[in-house]
Amino acid sequence: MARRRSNIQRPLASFNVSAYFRIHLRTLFSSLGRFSRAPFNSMMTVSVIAITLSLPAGLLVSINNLQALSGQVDLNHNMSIFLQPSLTLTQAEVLSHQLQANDLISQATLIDKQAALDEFRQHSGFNLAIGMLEDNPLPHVIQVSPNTDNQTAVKALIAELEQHAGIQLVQMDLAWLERLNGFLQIAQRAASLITALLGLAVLLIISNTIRLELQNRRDEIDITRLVGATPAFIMRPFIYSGFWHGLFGGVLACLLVNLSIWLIDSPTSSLANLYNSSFSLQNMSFYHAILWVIFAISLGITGSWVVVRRYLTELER
Amino acid sequence: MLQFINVSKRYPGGSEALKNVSFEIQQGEMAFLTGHSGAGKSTLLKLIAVLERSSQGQVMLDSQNIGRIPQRLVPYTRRKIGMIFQDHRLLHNHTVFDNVALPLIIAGHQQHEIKRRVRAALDKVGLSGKERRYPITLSGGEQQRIGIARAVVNRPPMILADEPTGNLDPQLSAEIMQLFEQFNQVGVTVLIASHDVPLIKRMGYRMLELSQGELVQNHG
Ligand SMILES: Nc1ncnc2c1ncn2[C@@H]1O[C@H](COP(=O)(O)OP(=O)(O)OP(=O)(O)O)[C@@H](O)[C@H]1O
Ligand SMILES: [Mg+2]
Repeated sequence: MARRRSNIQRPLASFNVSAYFRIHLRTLFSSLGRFSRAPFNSMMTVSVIAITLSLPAGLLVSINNLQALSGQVDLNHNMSIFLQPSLTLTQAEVLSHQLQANDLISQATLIDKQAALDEFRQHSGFNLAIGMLEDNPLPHVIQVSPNTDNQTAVKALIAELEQHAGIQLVQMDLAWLERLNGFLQIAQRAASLITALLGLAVLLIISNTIRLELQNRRDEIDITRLVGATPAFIMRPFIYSGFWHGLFGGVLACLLVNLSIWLIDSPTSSLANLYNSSFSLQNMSFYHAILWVIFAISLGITGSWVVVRRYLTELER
Repeated sequence: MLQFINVSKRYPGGSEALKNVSFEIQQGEMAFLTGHSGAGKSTLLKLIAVLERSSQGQVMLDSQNIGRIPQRLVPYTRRKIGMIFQDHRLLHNHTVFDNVALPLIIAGHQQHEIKRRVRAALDKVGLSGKERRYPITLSGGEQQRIGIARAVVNRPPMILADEPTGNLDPQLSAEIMQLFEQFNQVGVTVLIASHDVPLIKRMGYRMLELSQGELVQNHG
Protein backbone atom coordinates (compact mmCIF):
# COMPACT_ATOMS: atom_id res chain seq x y z
CA MET A 1 0.00 0.00 0.00
CA ALA A 2 3.02 2.25 0.42
CA ARG A 3 3.50 2.57 -3.32
CA ARG A 4 0.04 3.95 -3.73
CA ARG A 5 0.99 7.40 -4.90
CA SER A 6 3.03 6.09 -7.83
CA ASN A 7 0.24 3.83 -8.86
CA ILE A 8 -2.32 6.19 -10.25
CA GLN A 9 -4.71 4.56 -12.68
CA ARG A 10 -3.15 3.54 -15.97
CA PRO A 11 -4.20 5.94 -18.72
CA LEU A 12 -6.21 4.85 -21.72
CA ALA A 13 -3.23 5.00 -24.05
CA SER A 14 -1.42 2.02 -22.55
CA PHE A 15 -4.22 -0.30 -23.61
CA ASN A 16 -3.08 -3.81 -22.81
CA VAL A 17 -3.75 -6.37 -25.51
CA SER A 18 -3.13 -9.49 -23.46
CA ALA A 19 -5.35 -8.15 -20.70
CA TYR A 20 -8.01 -7.56 -23.30
CA PHE A 21 -7.96 -11.17 -24.48
CA ARG A 22 -7.74 -12.46 -20.94
CA ILE A 23 -10.95 -10.62 -20.06
CA HIS A 24 -12.62 -11.95 -23.19
CA LEU A 25 -11.66 -15.54 -22.50
CA ARG A 26 -12.66 -15.34 -18.87
CA THR A 27 -16.03 -13.82 -19.72
CA LEU A 28 -16.60 -16.35 -22.48
CA PHE A 29 -16.20 -19.23 -20.11
CA SER A 30 -17.87 -17.68 -17.13
CA SER A 31 -20.89 -17.04 -19.32
CA LEU A 32 -20.78 -20.72 -20.23
CA GLY A 33 -20.59 -21.47 -16.51
CA ARG A 34 -23.71 -19.41 -15.91
CA PHE A 35 -25.29 -21.35 -18.75
CA SER A 36 -24.55 -24.69 -17.12
CA ARG A 37 -25.70 -23.50 -13.70
CA ALA A 38 -29.25 -23.12 -14.98
CA PRO A 39 -29.24 -26.21 -17.21
CA PHE A 40 -32.99 -26.65 -17.40
CA ASN A 41 -33.81 -23.11 -18.47
CA SER A 42 -30.89 -22.98 -20.87
CA MET A 43 -31.80 -26.30 -22.44
CA MET A 44 -35.41 -25.20 -22.89
CA THR A 45 -34.38 -22.04 -24.69
CA VAL A 46 -31.77 -23.85 -26.75
CA SER A 47 -34.34 -26.48 -27.74
CA VAL A 48 -36.85 -23.86 -28.84
CA ILE A 49 -34.13 -22.20 -30.91
CA ALA A 50 -33.04 -25.55 -32.35
CA ILE A 51 -36.53 -26.63 -33.33
CA THR A 52 -37.27 -23.27 -34.89
CA LEU A 53 -34.04 -23.38 -36.89
CA SER A 54 -34.41 -27.04 -37.87
CA LEU A 55 -37.59 -26.29 -39.84
CA PRO A 56 -35.99 -24.11 -42.50
CA ALA A 57 -32.81 -26.20 -42.40
CA GLY A 58 -34.83 -29.36 -43.04
CA LEU A 59 -36.67 -27.66 -45.86
CA LEU A 60 -33.43 -26.57 -47.49
CA VAL A 61 -31.95 -30.06 -47.16
CA SER A 62 -35.10 -31.58 -48.72
CA ILE A 63 -34.83 -29.19 -51.64
CA ASN A 64 -31.17 -30.10 -52.07
CA ASN A 65 -32.11 -33.75 -52.10
CA LEU A 66 -34.80 -33.28 -54.71
CA GLN A 67 -32.38 -31.26 -56.80
CA ALA A 68 -29.87 -34.09 -56.54
CA LEU A 69 -32.60 -36.50 -57.63
CA SER A 70 -33.56 -34.44 -60.68
CA GLY A 71 -29.87 -33.96 -61.47
CA GLN A 72 -29.38 -37.74 -61.61
CA VAL A 73 -31.72 -38.01 -64.58
CA ASP A 74 -30.46 -36.48 -67.81
CA LEU A 75 -33.06 -34.38 -69.39
CA ASN A 76 -34.18 -35.88 -72.72
CA HIS A 77 -37.38 -35.99 -74.69
CA ASN A 78 -37.90 -39.74 -74.68
CA MET A 79 -41.52 -40.78 -74.76
CA SER A 80 -43.61 -43.89 -74.27
CA ILE A 81 -46.29 -44.70 -76.80
CA PHE A 82 -49.09 -46.83 -75.39
CA LEU A 83 -50.83 -48.79 -78.14
CA GLN A 84 -54.50 -49.72 -78.28
CA PRO A 85 -55.01 -52.90 -76.19
CA SER A 86 -56.67 -54.58 -79.14
CA LEU A 87 -53.49 -54.47 -81.24
CA THR A 88 -51.76 -57.81 -81.73
CA LEU A 89 -48.03 -58.25 -81.38
CA THR A 90 -47.56 -58.38 -85.16
CA GLN A 91 -49.53 -55.17 -85.69
CA ALA A 92 -47.44 -53.55 -82.97
CA GLU A 93 -44.22 -54.66 -84.67
CA VAL A 94 -45.37 -53.14 -87.94
CA LEU A 95 -46.17 -49.88 -86.22
CA SER A 96 -42.82 -49.90 -84.50
CA HIS A 97 -41.03 -50.26 -87.84
CA GLN A 98 -43.09 -47.43 -89.29
CA LEU A 99 -42.03 -45.18 -86.46
CA GLN A 100 -38.41 -46.17 -86.84
CA ALA A 101 -38.65 -44.97 -90.43
CA ASN A 102 -39.90 -41.52 -89.35
CA ASP A 103 -37.29 -38.78 -89.88
CA LEU A 104 -37.94 -37.21 -86.53
CA ILE A 105 -37.32 -40.43 -84.63
CA SER A 106 -33.88 -41.79 -83.97
CA GLN A 107 -34.95 -44.95 -82.24
CA ALA A 108 -38.16 -46.90 -81.62
CA THR A 109 -38.18 -49.98 -79.39
CA LEU A 110 -41.19 -52.19 -78.93
CA ILE A 111 -41.87 -53.55 -75.48
CA ASP A 112 -43.98 -56.67 -75.73
CA LYS A 113 -46.77 -56.60 -73.13
CA GLN A 114 -46.06 -60.16 -71.99
CA ALA A 115 -42.37 -59.35 -71.40
CA ALA A 116 -43.37 -56.19 -69.56
CA LEU A 117 -45.71 -58.13 -67.28
CA ASP A 118 -43.00 -60.68 -66.48
CA GLU A 119 -40.53 -57.98 -65.61
CA PHE A 120 -43.04 -56.18 -63.45
CA ARG A 121 -43.84 -59.42 -61.67
CA GLN A 122 -40.17 -59.98 -60.91
CA HIS A 123 -39.38 -56.57 -59.51
CA SER A 124 -42.50 -55.10 -58.04
CA GLY A 125 -43.35 -57.60 -55.35
CA PHE A 126 -46.96 -57.72 -56.59
CA ASN A 127 -46.35 -61.28 -57.67
CA LEU A 128 -49.43 -62.74 -56.02
CA ALA A 129 -51.82 -60.03 -57.11
CA ILE A 130 -50.62 -60.27 -60.70
CA GLY A 131 -51.03 -64.02 -60.64
CA MET A 132 -54.71 -63.53 -59.87
CA LEU A 133 -55.34 -61.49 -63.04
CA GLU A 134 -56.93 -63.36 -65.89
CA ASP A 135 -55.82 -61.05 -68.69
CA ASN A 136 -52.65 -59.10 -69.05
CA PRO A 137 -53.79 -55.54 -68.31
CA LEU A 138 -50.73 -53.95 -69.96
CA PRO A 139 -50.78 -52.67 -73.55
CA HIS A 140 -47.84 -52.97 -75.91
CA VAL A 141 -45.56 -50.00 -75.58
CA ILE A 142 -43.14 -48.46 -78.05
CA GLN A 143 -40.36 -46.37 -76.55
CA VAL A 144 -39.30 -43.58 -78.84
CA SER A 145 -36.29 -41.26 -78.76
CA PRO A 146 -36.85 -38.20 -80.94
CA ASN A 147 -34.11 -36.95 -83.22
CA THR A 148 -34.37 -33.41 -81.92
CA ASP A 149 -34.26 -31.43 -78.69
CA ASN A 150 -36.41 -28.73 -80.19
CA GLN A 151 -39.44 -28.28 -77.96
CA THR A 152 -41.90 -27.35 -80.74
CA ALA A 153 -40.72 -30.14 -83.04
CA VAL A 154 -41.23 -32.64 -80.22
CA LYS A 155 -44.71 -31.24 -79.53
CA ALA A 156 -45.61 -31.53 -83.21
CA LEU A 157 -44.37 -35.11 -83.25
CA ILE A 158 -46.53 -35.96 -80.27
CA ALA A 159 -49.58 -34.39 -81.89
CA GLU A 160 -48.93 -36.33 -85.08
CA LEU A 161 -48.51 -39.62 -83.23
CA GLU A 162 -51.67 -39.11 -81.21
CA GLN A 163 -53.64 -38.95 -84.46
CA HIS A 164 -52.64 -42.53 -85.30
CA ALA A 165 -55.47 -45.08 -84.94
CA GLY A 166 -53.33 -47.71 -83.23
CA ILE A 167 -52.01 -45.32 -80.59
CA GLN A 168 -53.91 -44.74 -77.39
CA LEU A 169 -51.58 -42.40 -75.50
CA VAL A 170 -48.25 -40.66 -75.94
CA GLN A 171 -46.45 -39.79 -72.73
CA MET A 172 -43.29 -37.76 -72.31
CA ASP A 173 -41.13 -39.76 -69.91
CA LEU A 174 -39.68 -36.72 -68.20
CA ALA A 175 -42.55 -34.29 -68.20
CA TRP A 176 -42.74 -34.77 -64.45
CA LEU A 177 -39.09 -33.73 -64.15
CA GLU A 178 -39.77 -30.34 -65.69
CA ARG A 179 -42.68 -29.91 -63.36
CA LEU A 180 -40.47 -30.93 -60.42
CA ASN A 181 -37.86 -28.39 -61.38
CA GLY A 182 -40.47 -25.70 -61.60
CA PHE A 183 -41.79 -26.73 -58.23
CA LEU A 184 -38.31 -26.71 -56.72
CA GLN A 185 -37.78 -23.12 -57.79
CA ILE A 186 -40.94 -22.10 -56.00
CA ALA A 187 -39.98 -24.18 -52.98
CA GLN A 188 -36.61 -22.46 -52.85
CA ARG A 189 -38.27 -19.05 -52.76
CA ALA A 190 -40.59 -20.25 -50.03
CA ALA A 191 -37.66 -21.69 -48.08
CA SER A 192 -35.81 -18.36 -48.17
CA LEU A 193 -38.91 -16.63 -46.90
CA ILE A 194 -39.42 -19.18 -44.14
CA THR A 195 -35.74 -18.95 -43.18
CA ALA A 196 -36.05 -15.19 -42.87
CA LEU A 197 -39.23 -15.40 -40.79
CA LEU A 198 -38.02 -18.13 -38.45
CA GLY A 199 -34.61 -16.41 -38.21
CA LEU A 200 -36.48 -13.36 -36.98
CA ALA A 201 -38.32 -15.58 -34.50
CA VAL A 202 -35.00 -16.88 -33.17
CA LEU A 203 -33.72 -13.32 -32.91
CA LEU A 204 -36.75 -12.47 -30.76
CA ILE A 205 -36.38 -15.59 -28.61
CA ILE A 206 -32.76 -14.75 -27.88
CA SER A 207 -33.50 -11.07 -27.25
CA ASN A 208 -36.16 -12.04 -24.78
CA THR A 209 -33.89 -14.51 -22.99
CA ILE A 210 -31.15 -11.90 -22.70
CA ARG A 211 -33.65 -9.32 -21.48
CA LEU A 212 -34.67 -11.65 -18.63
CA GLU A 213 -31.02 -12.23 -17.83
CA LEU A 214 -30.46 -8.47 -17.75
CA GLN A 215 -33.34 -8.01 -15.35
CA ASN A 216 -32.03 -10.73 -13.07
CA ARG A 217 -28.62 -9.13 -12.97
CA ARG A 218 -29.71 -5.51 -12.70
CA ASP A 219 -27.94 -5.00 -9.34
CA GLU A 220 -24.79 -6.56 -10.65
CA ILE A 221 -24.81 -4.23 -13.64
CA ASP A 222 -25.40 -1.16 -11.45
CA ILE A 223 -22.57 -2.09 -9.12
CA THR A 224 -20.05 -2.85 -11.84
CA ARG A 225 -20.89 0.51 -13.41
CA LEU A 226 -20.31 2.22 -10.05
CA VAL A 227 -16.78 0.83 -9.81
CA GLY A 228 -15.84 1.91 -13.32
CA ALA A 229 -16.89 -0.79 -15.77
CA THR A 230 -17.10 0.30 -19.39
CA PRO A 231 -20.26 -0.52 -21.40
CA ALA A 232 -18.17 -3.03 -23.37
CA PHE A 233 -17.27 -4.86 -20.17
CA ILE A 234 -20.90 -4.99 -19.05
CA MET A 235 -22.15 -6.09 -22.46
CA ARG A 236 -19.61 -8.86 -22.94
CA PRO A 237 -21.15 -11.63 -20.80
CA PHE A 238 -24.56 -11.04 -22.37
CA ILE A 239 -23.18 -11.08 -25.90
CA TYR A 240 -21.38 -14.33 -25.07
CA SER A 241 -24.58 -15.72 -23.64
CA GLY A 242 -26.21 -14.92 -26.97
CA PHE A 243 -23.26 -16.60 -28.68
CA TRP A 244 -23.69 -19.82 -26.67
CA HIS A 245 -27.45 -19.89 -27.26
CA GLY A 246 -26.83 -19.50 -30.99
CA LEU A 247 -24.04 -22.08 -31.08
CA PHE A 248 -25.91 -24.77 -29.16
CA GLY A 249 -29.21 -24.00 -30.91
CA GLY A 250 -27.54 -24.18 -34.33
CA VAL A 251 -25.66 -27.41 -33.63
CA LEU A 252 -28.76 -29.03 -32.16
CA ALA A 253 -30.82 -27.93 -35.17
CA CYS A 254 -28.33 -29.64 -37.52
CA LEU A 255 -28.46 -32.78 -35.40
CA LEU A 256 -32.26 -32.74 -35.49
CA VAL A 257 -32.25 -32.43 -39.28
CA ASN A 258 -29.80 -35.29 -39.71
CA LEU A 259 -31.72 -37.41 -37.24
CA SER A 260 -34.90 -36.88 -39.24
CA ILE A 261 -33.08 -37.76 -42.47
CA TRP A 262 -31.76 -40.90 -40.85
CA LEU A 263 -35.27 -41.82 -39.75
CA ILE A 264 -36.80 -41.49 -43.22
CA ASP A 265 -33.79 -42.68 -45.20
CA SER A 266 -34.50 -46.39 -45.09
CA PRO A 267 -38.13 -46.12 -46.26
CA THR A 268 -36.89 -43.74 -48.98
CA SER A 269 -34.26 -46.19 -50.19
CA SER A 270 -36.76 -49.04 -50.47
CA LEU A 271 -39.11 -46.76 -52.33
CA ALA A 272 -36.26 -45.80 -54.68
CA ASN A 273 -35.47 -49.47 -55.16
CA LEU A 274 -38.98 -49.97 -56.36
CA TYR A 275 -38.24 -47.50 -59.15
CA ASN A 276 -34.94 -49.20 -59.97
CA SER A 277 -33.04 -46.26 -58.50
CA SER A 278 -30.14 -46.31 -56.09
CA PHE A 279 -31.24 -42.92 -54.79
CA SER A 280 -30.74 -42.35 -51.08
CA LEU A 281 -31.17 -39.21 -48.98
CA GLN A 282 -28.16 -36.97 -48.43
CA ASN A 283 -27.42 -35.64 -44.94
CA MET A 284 -26.92 -31.95 -44.41
CA SER A 285 -23.42 -31.42 -45.79
CA PHE A 286 -20.69 -30.37 -43.38
CA TYR A 287 -20.34 -27.11 -45.25
CA HIS A 288 -24.05 -26.35 -44.95
CA ALA A 289 -24.07 -27.34 -41.30
CA ILE A 290 -21.22 -24.91 -40.60
CA LEU A 291 -23.03 -22.15 -42.47
CA TRP A 292 -26.19 -22.89 -40.53
CA VAL A 293 -24.38 -22.76 -37.16
CA ILE A 294 -22.73 -19.49 -38.15
CA PHE A 295 -26.16 -18.15 -39.07
CA ALA A 296 -27.48 -19.21 -35.64
CA ILE A 297 -24.52 -17.64 -33.84
CA SER A 298 -24.91 -14.36 -35.67
CA LEU A 299 -28.59 -14.32 -34.71
CA GLY A 300 -27.57 -14.91 -31.07
CA ILE A 301 -24.98 -12.17 -31.07
CA THR A 302 -27.20 -9.68 -32.87
CA GLY A 303 -30.18 -10.37 -30.63
CA SER A 304 -28.24 -9.93 -27.42
CA TRP A 305 -26.26 -6.95 -28.68
CA VAL A 306 -29.38 -4.98 -29.57
CA VAL A 307 -31.03 -5.64 -26.21
CA VAL A 308 -28.01 -4.88 -24.01
CA ARG A 309 -27.04 -1.80 -26.01
CA ARG A 310 -30.54 -0.41 -25.62
CA TYR A 311 -30.58 -1.17 -21.91
CA LEU A 312 -27.25 0.59 -21.30
CA THR A 313 -28.17 3.59 -23.41
CA GLU A 314 -31.24 4.02 -21.26
CA LEU A 315 -29.16 3.77 -18.07
CA GLU A 316 -26.70 6.39 -19.24
CA ARG A 317 -29.37 8.92 -19.96
CA MET B 1 -6.82 17.77 -6.62
CA LEU B 2 -10.54 18.43 -6.24
CA GLN B 3 -12.21 21.77 -6.77
CA PHE B 4 -15.87 22.83 -6.81
CA ILE B 5 -16.48 26.19 -8.51
CA ASN B 6 -19.99 27.66 -8.00
CA VAL B 7 -21.58 24.26 -8.36
CA SER B 8 -25.37 23.90 -8.31
CA LYS B 9 -27.35 20.71 -8.72
CA ARG B 10 -31.03 20.64 -9.49
CA TYR B 11 -32.69 17.23 -9.79
CA PRO B 12 -35.24 16.66 -12.54
CA GLY B 13 -37.98 16.68 -9.89
CA GLY B 14 -37.22 20.34 -9.26
CA SER B 15 -35.53 20.24 -5.83
CA GLU B 16 -32.24 22.11 -5.69
CA ALA B 17 -29.85 19.78 -3.81
CA LEU B 18 -26.75 22.01 -4.06
CA LYS B 19 -26.62 25.78 -4.38
CA ASN B 20 -23.53 27.61 -5.56
CA VAL B 21 -21.03 25.44 -3.70
CA SER B 22 -17.32 26.27 -3.93
CA PHE B 23 -14.40 24.63 -2.12
CA GLU B 24 -11.09 22.95 -2.78
CA ILE B 25 -9.43 19.85 -1.39
CA GLN B 26 -5.68 19.39 -1.74
CA GLN B 27 -4.02 16.19 -2.77
CA GLY B 28 -3.33 14.03 0.28
CA GLU B 29 -5.84 15.91 2.42
CA MET B 30 -8.51 14.33 4.63
CA ALA B 31 -11.83 16.15 5.10
CA PHE B 32 -15.35 15.58 6.42
CA LEU B 33 -18.66 16.61 4.98
CA THR B 34 -21.56 17.06 7.40
CA GLY B 35 -25.05 18.48 7.43
CA HIS B 36 -28.60 17.56 8.26
CA SER B 37 -30.40 14.81 6.40
CA GLY B 38 -31.22 16.05 2.93
CA ALA B 39 -28.54 18.75 3.07
CA GLY B 40 -26.94 17.44 -0.13
CA LYS B 41 -23.99 15.37 1.12
CA SER B 42 -24.66 12.30 -1.02
CA THR B 43 -25.39 14.54 -4.00
CA LEU B 44 -22.01 16.24 -3.62
CA LEU B 45 -20.18 12.90 -3.55
CA LYS B 46 -22.18 11.65 -6.54
CA LEU B 47 -21.04 14.65 -8.57
CA ILE B 48 -17.42 13.69 -7.90
CA ALA B 49 -17.98 10.07 -8.98
CA VAL B 50 -20.00 11.35 -12.01
CA LEU B 51 -23.04 9.39 -10.82
CA GLU B 52 -24.83 12.70 -11.31
CA ARG B 53 -23.84 15.74 -13.36
CA SER B 54 -23.83 19.31 -12.06
CA SER B 55 -26.48 21.68 -13.39
CA GLN B 56 -24.16 24.69 -13.10
CA GLY B 57 -20.55 25.37 -12.22
CA GLN B 58 -17.49 23.21 -12.57
CA VAL B 59 -16.35 20.09 -10.74
CA MET B 60 -12.62 19.89 -11.34
CA LEU B 61 -10.74 16.67 -10.65
CA ASP B 62 -7.04 16.73 -11.55
CA SER B 63 -7.78 19.96 -13.48
CA GLN B 64 -10.39 18.23 -15.63
CA ASN B 65 -14.02 19.39 -15.59
CA ILE B 66 -15.60 16.03 -14.86
CA GLY B 67 -19.09 17.51 -14.93
CA ARG B 68 -18.69 17.83 -18.69
CA ILE B 69 -16.62 14.82 -19.76
CA PRO B 70 -18.18 12.56 -22.42
CA GLN B 71 -20.01 9.51 -21.17
CA ARG B 72 -17.47 7.08 -22.64
CA LEU B 73 -14.72 8.50 -20.38
CA VAL B 74 -16.81 8.33 -17.20
CA PRO B 75 -15.74 4.75 -16.31
CA TYR B 76 -12.09 5.77 -16.36
CA THR B 77 -12.80 8.72 -14.07
CA ARG B 78 -14.62 6.41 -11.65
CA ARG B 79 -11.58 4.14 -11.50
CA LYS B 80 -9.58 7.05 -10.07
CA ILE B 81 -12.02 7.22 -7.18
CA GLY B 82 -12.70 4.58 -4.56
CA MET B 83 -16.29 5.09 -3.46
CA ILE B 84 -17.90 3.64 -0.35
CA PHE B 85 -21.68 3.69 -0.33
CA GLN B 86 -24.22 4.33 2.40
CA ASP B 87 -25.91 1.02 1.52
CA HIS B 88 -22.69 -0.96 0.79
CA ARG B 89 -23.71 -1.90 -2.79
CA LEU B 90 -22.24 -5.42 -2.61
CA LEU B 91 -22.87 -8.33 -4.96
CA HIS B 92 -24.79 -10.67 -2.69
CA ASN B 93 -24.50 -13.78 -4.83
CA HIS B 94 -20.72 -13.45 -5.03
CA THR B 95 -18.08 -14.18 -2.42
CA VAL B 96 -16.20 -11.55 -0.46
CA PHE B 97 -13.18 -12.24 -2.67
CA ASP B 98 -15.13 -11.64 -5.90
CA ASN B 99 -16.65 -8.45 -4.51
CA VAL B 100 -13.28 -6.99 -3.67
CA ALA B 101 -11.71 -8.24 -6.92
CA LEU B 102 -14.33 -6.55 -9.10
CA PRO B 103 -12.43 -3.28 -9.81
CA LEU B 104 -9.30 -5.29 -10.66
CA ILE B 105 -11.20 -7.62 -12.99
CA ILE B 106 -12.71 -4.60 -14.72
CA ALA B 107 -9.23 -3.12 -15.17
CA GLY B 108 -8.04 -6.44 -16.64
CA HIS B 109 -5.36 -7.43 -14.13
CA GLN B 110 -3.66 -10.83 -14.13
CA GLN B 111 -5.11 -13.54 -11.93
CA HIS B 112 -2.13 -13.77 -9.56
CA GLU B 113 -1.97 -9.98 -9.28
CA ILE B 114 -5.68 -9.93 -8.41
CA LYS B 115 -5.20 -12.59 -5.72
CA ARG B 116 -2.27 -10.75 -4.20
CA ARG B 117 -4.00 -7.37 -4.12
CA VAL B 118 -7.34 -8.68 -2.84
CA ARG B 119 -5.56 -10.53 0.00
CA ALA B 120 -3.65 -7.36 0.88
CA ALA B 121 -6.82 -5.23 0.87
CA LEU B 122 -8.78 -7.74 2.98
CA ASP B 123 -5.87 -8.00 5.36
CA LYS B 124 -5.82 -4.22 5.67
CA VAL B 125 -9.50 -4.00 6.67
CA GLY B 126 -9.23 -7.01 8.99
CA LEU B 127 -11.21 -9.51 6.94
CA SER B 128 -8.49 -11.98 6.03
CA GLY B 129 -9.72 -15.56 6.12
CA LYS B 130 -13.23 -14.55 5.04
CA GLU B 131 -12.58 -14.55 1.29
CA ARG B 132 -14.90 -17.47 0.60
CA ARG B 133 -17.81 -16.17 2.68
CA TYR B 134 -20.84 -14.46 1.20
CA PRO B 135 -21.55 -10.85 2.30
CA ILE B 136 -24.93 -11.81 3.77
CA THR B 137 -23.21 -14.10 6.28
CA LEU B 138 -21.17 -11.20 7.72
CA SER B 139 -22.13 -8.44 10.18
CA GLY B 140 -23.00 -4.90 9.08
CA GLY B 141 -19.59 -3.63 10.12
CA GLU B 142 -17.85 -6.41 8.23
CA GLN B 143 -19.95 -5.70 5.12
CA GLN B 144 -18.90 -2.06 5.36
CA ARG B 145 -15.29 -3.26 5.40
CA ILE B 146 -15.83 -5.31 2.24
CA GLY B 147 -16.97 -2.07 0.62
CA ILE B 148 -13.85 -0.31 1.90
CA ALA B 149 -11.56 -3.09 0.67
CA ARG B 150 -13.21 -2.88 -2.74
CA ALA B 151 -12.75 0.89 -2.80
CA VAL B 152 -9.02 0.75 -2.05
CA VAL B 153 -8.00 -2.45 -3.87
CA ASN B 154 -7.30 -0.56 -7.09
CA ARG B 155 -5.15 1.96 -5.16
CA PRO B 156 -7.14 5.01 -6.27
CA PRO B 157 -5.67 8.43 -5.46
CA MET B 158 -8.95 9.46 -3.83
CA ILE B 159 -11.51 7.82 -1.55
CA LEU B 160 -15.07 9.03 -1.08
CA ALA B 161 -17.16 7.54 1.72
CA ASP B 162 -20.88 8.15 2.21
CA GLU B 163 -21.87 7.53 5.85
CA PRO B 164 -19.34 4.73 6.32
CA THR B 165 -20.24 4.46 10.01
CA GLY B 166 -23.97 4.94 9.46
CA ASN B 167 -25.34 2.29 11.80
CA LEU B 168 -22.26 1.03 13.60
CA ASP B 169 -21.60 1.28 17.34
CA PRO B 170 -19.10 3.94 18.54
CA GLN B 171 -16.30 1.39 18.99
CA LEU B 172 -16.64 0.09 15.41
CA SER B 173 -17.11 3.61 14.02
CA ALA B 174 -13.82 4.69 15.58
CA GLU B 175 -12.07 1.65 14.08
CA ILE B 176 -13.41 2.40 10.61
CA MET B 177 -12.31 6.03 10.92
CA GLN B 178 -8.85 4.89 11.92
CA LEU B 179 -8.73 2.82 8.78
CA PHE B 180 -9.40 5.92 6.69
CA GLU B 181 -6.70 7.79 8.59
CA GLN B 182 -4.25 5.03 7.69
CA PHE B 183 -5.09 5.32 4.02
CA ASN B 184 -4.69 9.07 4.28
CA GLN B 185 -1.28 8.63 5.90
CA VAL B 186 0.01 6.84 2.79
CA GLY B 187 -1.09 9.71 0.58
CA VAL B 188 -4.68 9.05 -0.39
CA THR B 189 -7.05 12.01 -0.51
CA VAL B 190 -10.09 11.18 1.65
CA LEU B 191 -13.52 12.83 1.77
CA ILE B 192 -16.09 11.37 4.19
CA ALA B 193 -19.74 12.36 4.52
CA SER B 194 -21.01 11.76 8.06
CA HIS B 195 -23.68 12.77 10.58
CA ASP B 196 -21.49 11.93 13.50
CA VAL B 197 -20.34 15.46 14.41
CA PRO B 198 -18.89 14.60 17.86
CA LEU B 199 -16.67 11.88 16.35
CA ILE B 200 -15.54 14.18 13.53
CA LYS B 201 -14.78 17.00 15.97
CA ARG B 202 -12.67 14.63 18.07
CA MET B 203 -10.64 13.64 15.05
CA GLY B 204 -9.82 17.23 14.25
CA TYR B 205 -9.80 17.28 10.47
CA ARG B 206 -11.22 19.92 8.19
CA MET B 207 -15.03 20.00 8.15
CA LEU B 208 -17.35 21.16 5.37
CA GLU B 209 -20.91 21.72 6.51
CA LEU B 210 -23.86 21.79 4.17
CA SER B 211 -27.26 23.19 5.02
CA GLN B 212 -30.15 23.18 2.55
CA GLY B 213 -27.63 22.61 -0.24
CA GLU B 214 -25.44 25.56 0.72
CA LEU B 215 -21.94 25.37 2.11
CA VAL B 216 -22.25 27.12 5.48
CA GLN B 217 -18.94 26.20 7.11
CA ASN B 218 -15.55 25.34 5.69
CA HIS B 219 -12.78 25.14 8.27
CA GLY B 220 -10.47 22.75 9.98
N1 LIG C 1 -32.42 11.21 -7.45
C1 LIG C 1 -33.02 12.27 -6.88
N2 LIG C 1 -34.06 12.86 -7.49
C2 LIG C 1 -34.65 13.93 -6.96
N3 LIG C 1 -34.28 14.49 -5.81
C3 LIG C 1 -33.25 13.95 -5.13
C4 LIG C 1 -32.57 12.81 -5.65
N4 LIG C 1 -31.56 12.49 -4.78
C5 LIG C 1 -31.65 13.40 -3.80
N5 LIG C 1 -32.62 14.29 -3.99
C6 LIG C 1 -32.98 15.40 -3.15
O1 LIG C 1 -31.82 16.20 -3.00
C7 LIG C 1 -31.68 16.64 -1.66
C8 LIG C 1 -30.32 16.21 -1.11
O2 LIG C 1 -30.26 14.80 -1.04
P1 LIG C 1 -28.98 14.03 -0.52
O3 LIG C 1 -29.24 12.60 -0.71
O4 LIG C 1 -27.81 14.59 -1.22
O5 LIG C 1 -28.94 14.40 1.00
P2 LIG C 1 -27.97 13.85 2.15
O6 LIG C 1 -27.32 15.02 2.73
O7 LIG C 1 -27.12 12.77 1.61
O8 LIG C 1 -29.02 13.22 3.15
P3 LIG C 1 -28.84 11.96 4.15
O9 LIG C 1 -28.00 12.43 5.28
O10 LIG C 1 -30.22 11.65 4.57
O11 LIG C 1 -28.21 10.88 3.34
C9 LIG C 1 -32.84 16.06 -0.89
O12 LIG C 1 -33.81 17.04 -0.77
C10 LIG C 1 -33.35 14.94 -1.77
O13 LIG C 1 -34.74 14.83 -1.65
MG1 LIG D 1 -26.92 10.66 1.92
